[in-house]
Order: sequence, then structure tokens, then C-alpha cells
Amino acid sequence: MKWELPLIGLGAILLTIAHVWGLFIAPPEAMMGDVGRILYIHVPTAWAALVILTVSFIAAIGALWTSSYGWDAAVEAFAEVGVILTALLLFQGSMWAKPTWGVFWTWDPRLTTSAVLVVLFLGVLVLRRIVDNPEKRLTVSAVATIIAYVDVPIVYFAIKWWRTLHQPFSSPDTVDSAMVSPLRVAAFGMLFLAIGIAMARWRSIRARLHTEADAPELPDLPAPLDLGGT
Amino acid sequence: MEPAAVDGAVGAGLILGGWGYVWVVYGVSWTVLVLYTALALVLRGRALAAESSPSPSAENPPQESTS
Amino acid sequence: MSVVADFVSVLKQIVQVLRKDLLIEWRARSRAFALACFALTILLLFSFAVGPDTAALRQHAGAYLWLSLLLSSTLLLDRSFQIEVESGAMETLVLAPTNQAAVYYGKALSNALQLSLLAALMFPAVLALFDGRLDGSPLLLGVGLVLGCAGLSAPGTLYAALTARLNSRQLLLPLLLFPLIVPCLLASVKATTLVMTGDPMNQVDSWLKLLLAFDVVYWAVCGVLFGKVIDA
Repeated sequence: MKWELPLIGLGAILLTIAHVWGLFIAPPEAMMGDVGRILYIHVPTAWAALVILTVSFIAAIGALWTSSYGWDAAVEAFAEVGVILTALLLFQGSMWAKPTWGVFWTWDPRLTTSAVLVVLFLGVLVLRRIVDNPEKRLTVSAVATIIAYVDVPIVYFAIKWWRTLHQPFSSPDTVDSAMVSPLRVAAFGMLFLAIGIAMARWRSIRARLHTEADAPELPDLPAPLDLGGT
Repeated sequence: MEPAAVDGAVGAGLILGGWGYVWVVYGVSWTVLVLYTALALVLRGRALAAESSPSPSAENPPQESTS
Repeated sequence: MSVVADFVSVLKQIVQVLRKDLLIEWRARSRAFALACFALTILLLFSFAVGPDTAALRQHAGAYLWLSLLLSSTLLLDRSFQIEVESGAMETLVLAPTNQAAVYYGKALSNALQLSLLAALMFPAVLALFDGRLDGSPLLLGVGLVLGCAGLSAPGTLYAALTARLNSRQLLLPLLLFPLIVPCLLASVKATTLVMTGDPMNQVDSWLKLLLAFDVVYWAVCGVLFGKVIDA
């Protein structure tokens, strides 16, 4: 059952509805004015990125457990989507930071954690490009993904203890009720879209891995001549 | 919705205007998402076409609605 | 009873690997000397790059120390498995699964010890170069240094094994390791700086706890994953 197309379609529709709602219909944020409308794309991107990278982590465990290329492809597909989303998150975060705090970059825990995350998972993708041997690549990138993911909560809390400028976590409790609904719709929309894209990438990557595995074996070299001497 | 002095308003308690930032964020984010989705679907189409018997890839990317 | 016996035998193996590794490093101690010079040079470079602003130098001395240690660690870790690779002994590790965890912990301990020694050597240089002082207890400083070095060694040793047979090893090891140890770096710098410049709000404990948490997590996780990495 090919879920990716319906997921992408549904996600795009939900996201569009949520953004039209949030940009033009919902009221401006109490303190941040219209700049607060960035919320409707920034928060969903963060949640989607976290879910996607978690899937990559689970796939890494699966890959190590089963040594199957299906899991291996999932590690790469979800890591790739995760990196793109997190990089986007960084950009959105600094665009938010400039009008609200006056600077593009600051020691905010979420912003800095995103930066570390991007480099960490980019490292996994680089590793996959460099290692040629499929089995070694599976093992090596799965290990790197697991280690990178385990780091995420530690990085977050470490930076949080340095300084906290960011507003409290935007769960529906801390967001005005008029803004909760478009935010929820946007969150689901982004999540479906992200998972759909990841699944599409998964198919391509898995096909590539299978092509690699099916490459014709070279014929054995002829047996070395035994000339009788020692 | 007038673009008032955004930077000057920092620390004043209420940020006026700032729609420029909103458009930039949404514009860049949507562009990246649309392009990446298109790329993912194109590569997927090619992979599926190569996997199955030689036939043109019949799946068209769904029409993306943009705001 | 056999569980205890197994555990003791693994401990013995760890000590064996540790002793062998340290012995090899001792015999090549000119290399260790070169590494210390490298670390010292980096401290000097910071001093030159920042300039004569004594206040800034003193305030950030902890940061310079740990950056110097981090950069030196890549050279140290790089060597971790090279002897095995060069002598073809990597394959024998695969054949003895019960020894794999012992090999990892032995090597990681060896690296942690060497790094700690380097840290201890560099600290007087830091005091001299950056007009530093030691406000808190030396014990607290020592704990911070050791925990921080342990935090660098655990994932570092695993990544050294992982990249041992790859061509781009010297690029990949820092690329993979540096973002990973950000929390360890943060906590170590904070803990060291607070001990050096004064800790009015008693924050050192929380930073040391964070370091300890990082160490526990990574020494466990990397030990488990080492077997998989070696088998590849």
C-alpha cells in the first residue's frame, strides 16, 4: 500500500488551510504582534523534525538488529528529511529571533540544539556517502544515528542551563485558544507531509540499495597455478 | 499592518508590523518544502519505473496547493 | 556464582588491555611529548588570537583549556586502533566476542587516562598564560577534568574504531565527534571556569552531575555498540 502520495496530499492541504487561517484569520499574538504568526510554521516544523529523527533512530536499531536494507534505507531517508527540516527550523528560528530579541543568533537552547542536530545528522549522511561497502555502511550509519539521537536530550538540557531566552514550550496550554486550532492543524499537516516525503525518499533509497546488492558478482579468478616449488 | 519600526520596538513590550519577517519565513519554508517534495517524487517515480517492467512511470505528482 | 566469575574475568581482561595500551604508549613516549607540545601550542595560539586583554583571557581560560584538549584528543584517538589495523589484528577481535567489551573499555580507559594526564599537564600552563587562579578546591577541579576527559573518550574511542579502516578517518572522526560532545564540552568548561574564577551560586555541582550523566550514558551505549562496529 503506497501511503506516501495520500500523506503528501493530505499534509499539503492541511498545512495550506492552517496557514491561511493563521496568517489572515487568527488574531495577532499578544506580545509579538504579527511576527507571532511565524508560530504556525515554526512549531510544526520542530515537532515534525523531532518525530522524523526519532523514526530514523528506531530504524537504526532495526537495521542493527535485522541487517536488512529496508531498515537501512529508512535510516537514510528519515535522517535526510530530518536534516532538511532541522535546517529549516534554524532559519525560521533566527528569523523569529531578529524582531523579538534583536539578534539573528543567540544562546537559546532550542536554536543551539537545532544547530548541533543538523551537524550531527549531516555527519551520518556524510558517513553514508563515504563508506562503499553496504554491510559496513549499514552498521556504521546505524551506530552513528543511535549515538547522535541519544545526545539530543542531553544537548538540549545542557544548553537550557546556560541561558533561557526562549518562551516556554508552545503546547496548547500556553498558547491563546484562538491560535491553538490552526496550530494543531498545521502540526498534523506538517507531520503528514514530512512522513510522506520520507516514505517517498525511502522507496528511492531502497531501490538504489537493492540495485547495489544485485550488482552481478564478478567471476572468480582462476585458481593460482601451482608450480610445484615451495 | 503598516511596517512600523520593528527593531526600535524591541523591549517596548509590543512588536508592531514585522510582516516582512513573516513573509520571508513562510516563503522560504514553503519553497523548500515544495521543491524537496517534487524532488522526492521525481526520484521515487524513476526508482519505481526501474523496478517494475519497462513502462513509463504513470504516477504524476499531486497538484500542490500553495497559499 | 558464574556471573560473578564472568564479571571478574572481564574486569581482568579490561585491565590487561589497559596495561598493554599504556605500555605501548609509554614506549612511544616521544609521541606523548609531541602531543603535549601540540596542546600547549594551541593554548598559545588562543593567547595570541585573543590579545592582551587580561580580563577576557582569565574569564575564558577554561574554554581555551578544553578546546585545546578537544583538538588534541583527535590526534590521540586517531591512534587508538591504528596498531590493530596495521598489524591486521582487527579481525581477531571479531573472533572473540566475549573480549570485545573488554577491548572497548580497556582502550577507552586508556584514552581517558592519557587525556586526563594531558589536562593535568596543561593546567599549570593555563594558570600561567591566562593569569588564571584556582578559587575552588583542587579536588573539584580534578573531578571535573577527569569526568570531562572520560566524556570525550567514550564516544571518541568508539568512533576511532568505527573509522579505523576508512580512508577519510582523520576528517570523519572530528566531524562525527565534535557535535556529539557539545554538552560534555559545555559542562566541562562551565565546571572548570567556576572552580577557577569562583562559584557564588554553587552551580558546579549541577554541571558535574550533567557530566556524570553524559559519561554514564555514553560509556554504556558505546560499550554495547562496540561489538557491532567491530563486526562490520
